[in-house]
Amino acid sequence: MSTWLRVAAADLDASIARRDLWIHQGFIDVIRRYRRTALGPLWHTLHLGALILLLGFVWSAIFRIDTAAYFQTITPTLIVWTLIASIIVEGCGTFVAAQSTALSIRFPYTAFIFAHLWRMLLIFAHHLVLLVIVYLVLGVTPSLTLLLVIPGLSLILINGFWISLLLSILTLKARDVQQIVASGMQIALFATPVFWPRDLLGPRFAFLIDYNPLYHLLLIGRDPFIGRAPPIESWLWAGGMAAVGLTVSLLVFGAVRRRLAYWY
Amino acid sequence: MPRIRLRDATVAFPVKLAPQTAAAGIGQTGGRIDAATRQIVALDGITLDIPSGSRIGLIGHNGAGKSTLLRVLAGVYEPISGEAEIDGTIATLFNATPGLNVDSTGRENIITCGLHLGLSLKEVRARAAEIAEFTELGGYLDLPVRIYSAGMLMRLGFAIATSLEPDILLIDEGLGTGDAGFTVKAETRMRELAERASILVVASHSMALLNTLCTTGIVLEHGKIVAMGPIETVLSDYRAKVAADASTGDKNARRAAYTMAQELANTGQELPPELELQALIEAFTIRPDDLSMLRRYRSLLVMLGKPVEPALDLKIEQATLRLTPEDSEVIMRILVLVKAHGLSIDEDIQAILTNRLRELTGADR
Repeated sequence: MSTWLRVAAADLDASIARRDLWIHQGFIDVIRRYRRTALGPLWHTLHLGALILLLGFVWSAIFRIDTAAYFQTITPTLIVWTLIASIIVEGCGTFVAAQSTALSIRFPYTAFIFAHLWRMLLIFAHHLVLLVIVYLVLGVTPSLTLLLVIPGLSLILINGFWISLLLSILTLKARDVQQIVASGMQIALFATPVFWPRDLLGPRFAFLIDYNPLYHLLLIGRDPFIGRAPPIESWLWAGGMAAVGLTVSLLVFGAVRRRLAYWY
Repeated sequence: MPRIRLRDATVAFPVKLAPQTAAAGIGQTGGRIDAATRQIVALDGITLDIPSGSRIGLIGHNGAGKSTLLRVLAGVYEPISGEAEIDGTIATLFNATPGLNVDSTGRENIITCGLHLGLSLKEVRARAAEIAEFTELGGYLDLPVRIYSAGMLMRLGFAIATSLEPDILLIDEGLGTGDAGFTVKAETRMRELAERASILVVASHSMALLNTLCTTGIVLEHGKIVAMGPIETVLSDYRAKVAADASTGDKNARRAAYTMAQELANTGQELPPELELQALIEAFTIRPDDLSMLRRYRSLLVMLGKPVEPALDLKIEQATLRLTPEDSEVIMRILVLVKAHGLSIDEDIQAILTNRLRELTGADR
């Protein structure tokens, strides 16, 4: 076990030493999405914007809730959910996509994960434009609670790290994993209070929320944007998941690190 | 001090095997297929000590394990059993340039690939201009790599990979697709780089390249080291072995001899007579009546002190007659050969002879 942790730590160490590379790589990947399209990653933002606009008007009518309030909730909810979901779904293919590098030189595998997270964070930053628009239109002034975004996003990224690492390993071994995860995340989108307010659920299915780790991750990233502090239990969930998940996935990584190149 | 040590290193890949594949066992090319453990043994218990100052050339047929061994030396594959100790900074020049992205421009790729190969942003920026100049790609550097030709891609990859100053330099083929001018330039650069590196390991089919770059040769066969020694000796032994295998009449071995001879001839290297002979036998399966090949074959037989069958002489004369059907001297020689050895002649030659006879008898009247 201690050998596994040492292997994982050495890999992390090498990744941090090569931060120049993955920071640059993340930028390049985002810039590349602008190439050969007029809007680049903003297409994604535009798509999200259209979705928010539609949901904001139609679903607030369905749920009979105040449209302005719904807009204020749905916008950060969708943006943060998109961040979490894309970290997880796109995270699966990280090692597979790195084949030419991994088979050419000895390379820290966790650097591929860092590049992936950094890229997701940059794309998330694009989406914040939507939030600014909503704030401006509704005349919302952000309060100091907004600062909680920093620990919130950090915890999302730490959890995103271990999830991506574990899923990348699994996908490399069995390529089906990516399909399973993509379909799972789509289902999770409807099982988690993303579009609908949690109060509408009622007590019978309350476990869907209380024991839904994705929901707690969503809350710690989203609530600060709405101007309220995320509940304590969500912090505990996110922190606990980070601690357990990080340990497990680093142990797994350390155990299989020397086999990864064989799985291409 | 840079040093590489392998002890009983084995590399094997798990595969799904169909029953008939499993029964096939070992092929002419490739590693050993182990049916019991369902894996392909690419490297089989390699023990190797490469001290600083070594210049090693890897030789072997396709799938003998050259590339796999290079990847073990690069630290990409850790052996599934045995040990690999590698001390020193490593640069590799393999088929793919790590980090290359086809939608980025050449200039951007110089930065990203340089970073992938282990340079810091500062270092790669400092070298970017020199790398760009070496590629001679000019305006293409500002266009996406997607539109590059294979040769242009090779120039870019080569220039980036050779801008490093590694302790250990590992090269797999490398100079495949460049045009002649660039190949010369690339070889010079590689030689300079090899001189500065502490350890050089090159896998190549080009005997000339191995001869200029390396001092020690290693022959791999089905994942095992079968010979090791001074490069000159190893290369000539290897050529002799290929020729000897071919002379047993084995089709695949003869094919290998043909390929090797072609390579040697294409790169202007000396062809050992025995190898050329075997290659010609293979070539005759494609063009059985090529006069210059037949003549060369005959002179090689004489050179090697082997008997020349009258049938071969007849073949040569017949091929000559096809080119110059009027030559009465050739006709005479054919008739003599036929009479002396009781040989039969080809139908088209028979037709030529009959025609000629009719002409002669017609003229007499």
